[in-house]
Amino acid sequence: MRLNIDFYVHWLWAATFGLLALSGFALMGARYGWIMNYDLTVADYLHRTMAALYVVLLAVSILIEILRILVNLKVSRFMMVGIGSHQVFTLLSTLLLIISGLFIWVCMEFSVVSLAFCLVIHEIAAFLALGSIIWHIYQKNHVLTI
Amino acid sequence: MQNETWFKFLVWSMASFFFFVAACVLIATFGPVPSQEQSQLWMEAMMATMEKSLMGYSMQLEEGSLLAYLMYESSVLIPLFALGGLFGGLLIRFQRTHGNKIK
Repeated sequence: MRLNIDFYVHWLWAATFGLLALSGFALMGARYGWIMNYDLTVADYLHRTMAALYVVLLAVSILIEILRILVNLKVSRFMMVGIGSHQVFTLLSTLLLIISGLFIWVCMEFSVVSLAFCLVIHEIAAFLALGSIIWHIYQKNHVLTI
Repeated sequence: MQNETWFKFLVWSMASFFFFVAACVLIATFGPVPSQEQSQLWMEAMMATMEKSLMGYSMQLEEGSLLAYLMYESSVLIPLFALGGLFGGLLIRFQRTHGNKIK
């Protein structure tokens, strides 16, 4: 069986986002700490490593979409970036998460106001993205039939 | 492919994983307020993270060291990525509009 790159990117993206959500919510506050059993060092490592992979996956997805348009590259229905409503939402929420995350990473040392603002944006975007994934699973529930 | 066993297994595993994550988040958000002991645990864990994790290491970087220099210098990549994304988006837009007109 021949599997396209978009298949791998889709499922790598899903696994990466799942780990990002798990570690990110644990870092959010005392209310969420139990999700990672209060092991915030592991959560911090995991979140930063997976975030780097997440940026790479977004870059690959955008590249595939550009190639699809420019050289008519054939892709299957697994792409995250495209013209479908969920694909557009995924792209926007991902950009929001990445940009706010970058600011959190960079502004940690010198700008408390920017840090606080970006944390709020990052949290709201994370809640929305998690909700959209549950909605996406619900939309594709025909795949789950055994 | 969707009828293959390994694919079913993959989809079920991922779907279950996400439902567990969402359930954890819902329980944590709408559950009882954390006790003083839990808040203490979280604060201690955060303090340990400040010392041992990447966050802590980046905060302990000595001013003027090579790694600090590389980190500051590589920050120029952020606007470059932003500009690249902007031009990529414009290129796609132009290509779509142009392609439609030709057809």
